Amino acid sequence: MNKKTSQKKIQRDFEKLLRELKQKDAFIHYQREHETGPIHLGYLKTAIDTDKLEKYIMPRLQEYMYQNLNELKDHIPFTKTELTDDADQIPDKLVKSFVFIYMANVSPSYLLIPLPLDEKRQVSVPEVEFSVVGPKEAFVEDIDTNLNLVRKRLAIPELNVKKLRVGTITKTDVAVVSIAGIADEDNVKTAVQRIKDVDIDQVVDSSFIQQTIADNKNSPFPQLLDTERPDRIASILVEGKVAIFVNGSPHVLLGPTTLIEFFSAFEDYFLNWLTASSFRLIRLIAVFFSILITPLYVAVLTHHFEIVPQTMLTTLVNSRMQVPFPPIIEALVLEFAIELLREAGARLPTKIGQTIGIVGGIVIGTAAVEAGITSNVLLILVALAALGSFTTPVYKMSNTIRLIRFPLIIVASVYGLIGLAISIAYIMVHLLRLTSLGRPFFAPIFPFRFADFKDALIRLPFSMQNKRPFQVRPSKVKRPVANENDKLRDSR
Amino acid sequence: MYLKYIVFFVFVTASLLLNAFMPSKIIDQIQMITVIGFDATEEERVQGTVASPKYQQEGQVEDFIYTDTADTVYEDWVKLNAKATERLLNGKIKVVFYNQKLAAEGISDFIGFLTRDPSIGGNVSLAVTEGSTLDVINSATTTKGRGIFFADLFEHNIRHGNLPQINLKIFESALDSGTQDPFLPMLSIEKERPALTAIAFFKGDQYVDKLPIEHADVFKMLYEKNVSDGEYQYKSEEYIAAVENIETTKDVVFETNGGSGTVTINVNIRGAVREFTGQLPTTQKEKIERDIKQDIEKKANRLVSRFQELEIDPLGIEDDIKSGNRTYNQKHFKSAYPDMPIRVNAEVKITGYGIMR
Amino acid sequence: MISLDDKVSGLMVLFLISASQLGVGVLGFQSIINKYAGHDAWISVMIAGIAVSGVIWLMYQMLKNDEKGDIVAIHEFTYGKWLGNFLTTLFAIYLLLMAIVVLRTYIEIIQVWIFPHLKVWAFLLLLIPLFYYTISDQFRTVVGVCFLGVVYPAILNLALFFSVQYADIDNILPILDHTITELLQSSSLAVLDFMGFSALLVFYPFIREAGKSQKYAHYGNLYTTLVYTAVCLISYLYYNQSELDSVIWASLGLWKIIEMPFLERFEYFGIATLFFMILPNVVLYMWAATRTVTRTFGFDHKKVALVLLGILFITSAIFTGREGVNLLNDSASRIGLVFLFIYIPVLFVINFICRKVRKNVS
Repeated sequence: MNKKTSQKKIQRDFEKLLRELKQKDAFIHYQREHETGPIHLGYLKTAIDTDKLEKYIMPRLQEYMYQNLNELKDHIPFTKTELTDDADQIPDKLVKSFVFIYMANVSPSYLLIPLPLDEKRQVSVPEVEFSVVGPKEAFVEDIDTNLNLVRKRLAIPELNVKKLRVGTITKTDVAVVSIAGIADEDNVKTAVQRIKDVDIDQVVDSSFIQQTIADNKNSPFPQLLDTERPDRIASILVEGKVAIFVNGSPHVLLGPTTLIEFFSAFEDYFLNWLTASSFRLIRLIAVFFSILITPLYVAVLTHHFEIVPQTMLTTLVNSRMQVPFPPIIEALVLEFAIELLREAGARLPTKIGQTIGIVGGIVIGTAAVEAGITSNVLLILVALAALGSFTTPVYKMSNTIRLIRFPLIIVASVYGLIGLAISIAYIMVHLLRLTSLGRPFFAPIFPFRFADFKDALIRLPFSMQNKRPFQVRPSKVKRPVANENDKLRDSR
Repeated sequence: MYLKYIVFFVFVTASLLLNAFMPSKIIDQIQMITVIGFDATEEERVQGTVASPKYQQEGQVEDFIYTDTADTVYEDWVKLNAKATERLLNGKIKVVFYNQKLAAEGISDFIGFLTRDPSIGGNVSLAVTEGSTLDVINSATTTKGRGIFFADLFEHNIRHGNLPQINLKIFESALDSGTQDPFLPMLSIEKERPALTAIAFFKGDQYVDKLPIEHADVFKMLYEKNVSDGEYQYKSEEYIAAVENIETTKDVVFETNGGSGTVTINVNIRGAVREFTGQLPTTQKEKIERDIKQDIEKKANRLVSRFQELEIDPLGIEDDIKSGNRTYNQKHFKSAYPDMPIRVNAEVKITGYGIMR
Repeated sequence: MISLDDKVSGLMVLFLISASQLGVGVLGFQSIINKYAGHDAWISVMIAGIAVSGVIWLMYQMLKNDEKGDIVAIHEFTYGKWLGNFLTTLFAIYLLLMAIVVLRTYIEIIQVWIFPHLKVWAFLLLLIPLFYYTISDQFRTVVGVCFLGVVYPAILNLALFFSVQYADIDNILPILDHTITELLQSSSLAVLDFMGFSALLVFYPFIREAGKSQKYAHYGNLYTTLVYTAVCLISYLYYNQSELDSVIWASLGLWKIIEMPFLERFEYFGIATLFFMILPNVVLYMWAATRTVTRTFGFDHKKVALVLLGILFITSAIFTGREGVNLLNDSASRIGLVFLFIYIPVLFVINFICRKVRKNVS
């Protein structure tokens, strides 16, 4: 009697559940007859891989002999299947790509089978950090694929992967990766602790983590390097740094990093050290040029005509003759126009973006000069400055470089070169105070570490890269790099 | 928490706004003086002339030329500004002319005007003009602007010609030193074009004498410690020899024997013959060298005794003696200078004869 | 106590000492020190450098006794609490005065050279937050500024060589034409340009293995002496002595002659670059003053910094014109001379006796 009433209650509960679920339009419900009575099977059409369902689940429901769900469970070729009595869990599980099977007359249990839809982008060529030579793989959105891409390059047991969940709603997988015995334990602990302390409802991309665990959140400078190249991650892990993978993001974070590291392209390591060093220096000069040239133009033209040589004055004055604005307005207008072009190009689809670039660059530029709104010289300088900022391999840093130009221009227009010096001092002090995962950001310039210069402003040959950077306080400082043949030759 | 950011932005904004209206010097809203001319006029007044580039399209430069007369330089500037369309600024002064009359009256006040102003550089060419400075400035025809025109004129003459190294800094040094008298190049108008015609010698800040520029080669050898690219011409009835690419070194030896001392100026000259009207110079090397040596010594001795007569010391002999002699006494030297035996000793070495025998 | 992270390596003492010594003095000392020794005054600079090395040695002898020792601890140990604290306060005021002198002199140069219409107090509004930003945090930031403040303006030394083409060796001949007394008298004037290193008495506990850093302090002093001597020598080759009498900032005058294809009138660029030499001076003195007050009275570091910067702001805005700046300069040099060459040796002797006596008692 008692059993019967409870049976009825269970039946009622199930029917209630079905009614609720049927209100969702993606819900599919099958009923199969079995020797013990009806078997119910339900899922959300958009959430599961229907191919797998057809291929592995359906045939088994018909072909095999089983009396209850436990027996059935043994026949299903999937791990992570669950048995539960709790009907309230079901809607939640369905959203998370589960299929439920319910044998109405046998038991009140539900068998839950995960059939997630494996929608993955193929591993493709890096687009942001493209290199002509070297590996051509880039990370994708799936964290396991990404970890696998790195494991492929570092197939060693010391590779330490610590998984965490972040985001009160999204519950995103985050992995902190380092090499045991090389990376400093403190760095790993700092990274893990900071990620644990993150209190945020959603983590859609690694930049969410990058911003929430930054040492100084009010700084325009990114304090963690991000890269889409698995080879770079592998190489930097060997240097003793810590990588942070975030599910759903094709960009992996690296720390502790330094300012200089943002200006080194990974391609530098694929080229001969002389070439690589020259290119890196060119990039650094481009950055300085990019930051300083417009403010310098404004400062000199507004306050310091004395320092311009007479012959250059002719060119400058000639080009400015038609311009009705003071240099500051001229510069701001032009810088604004360039930013506008960049923003428009970034927002539009690639093909239209290119057109915008050409239209903006050539047509508007020429027209602006002809109309006498800006001067030729400034147009050249601003365009070169923009070009210079794009040589920075890390996109976020190149944004910073373009941004910090604006306050410099304004201060330079009021205080001339002195103002420029003061603004640079502000940036300098800011960089001195900045840290990345608690390690000084401005190293190896300050704290001055002469040895670390081997891979900073220039990149010396591998035979001289025999120590890991002191910046990351590696547990193991020495690294073998020299060629045995070199040693033999040297000893002769 | 955010108070410090607010305070920071208020401070910086206030600082920028409050100083935003400092008079600026935007390059196309000023007139840069490149050339100045000072003339003494009849009524003890100063006539100031300034040239300031007027930039044309296609990179051509013409000049505005303003001129006015006043009692002081300052007053002059007020009057000139009243004529100019934009503010006249001193920052790019390249050349300053003084007319002969003004130079004879003394120009130290006018030099003070140049050295006191921080915006005026040290590398300003100074020169004396034979006639009115306005005429000289006007007579230049150029599309680069008169500042560059005159500066280039002096520059190449200093580098390769007979004009010794001279600019505001060197002039002022000599003027202040008390052990040396300054000199300046002198310009005049030849066939409606400005031309470097002479070197003007000063006693203190007053012009006293001049030496035609074609005879200044010896002066340059005696004045400069090293000449790196000079030229010299030897003329006699027998032959004419032009020596180029001259490199010289000079040292001054002072010997005291008893009461007064004797000065010997040793000049070492190396150069190549480029023009020769006689026969086969290679065969008579020693003769040429001896002739040139005697010629230079003769000219130099004449020049030095002329300086002694005028009681001026543009060669800086006193300076050399002061620095080489611990017993030097200024008063004693000054009184002894006019009669001091000063001998010039030249060593000539011809290093080449061009590509002909 | 001071944590290991706040401490800096011994090598940094070199930069701290140099940065504190190289300041506005380098711009115009040539025409001050030649008062007695004339064209031989560049030798006096070297003598002054040696004398300063002696004072650094004295300071280290006092400080070495206690790794955590600084001027506050020494004063308290030597004179007891009340008198000690009083003298420490005087020392803090002296540091503050030096910061004011440096800042005000630099602004004076800006006013004369570039912006005659500059509103000084408004200009200071831009600088004060920078000073606060530097000194309110760890000492490391101040050291960083000092380090870059020595390394970066070092390129200005190269600019000196442009002026060599106008050098006249006659201007400094004959060498040693003055008596030893004259040379020493000039040295006493030259010493004033080295004064800033008294901040060593405050930052000593922030040095890792501070006792072993003495050699770096001497190297720092050596570098400063070399720079001063080179600047002095080149100025004396460039100017003759009577010319020097009429210029105020001889070093800036050296730059006036420099012309490069893309840059004429190097002094405008130079004055701007000098800011990176002035900044370490001011922040180091301000930091040292703040730290001294904090240590003596136990106030909050940031609040003390704010108050002292307020004083800096007001004083720098009040003293105007050449006379005001001269007054500041003169008083600071007199106090500095007394402090370094009379007070420090006296303190050393008293401190030495105190230590012996107490050792015997215990």
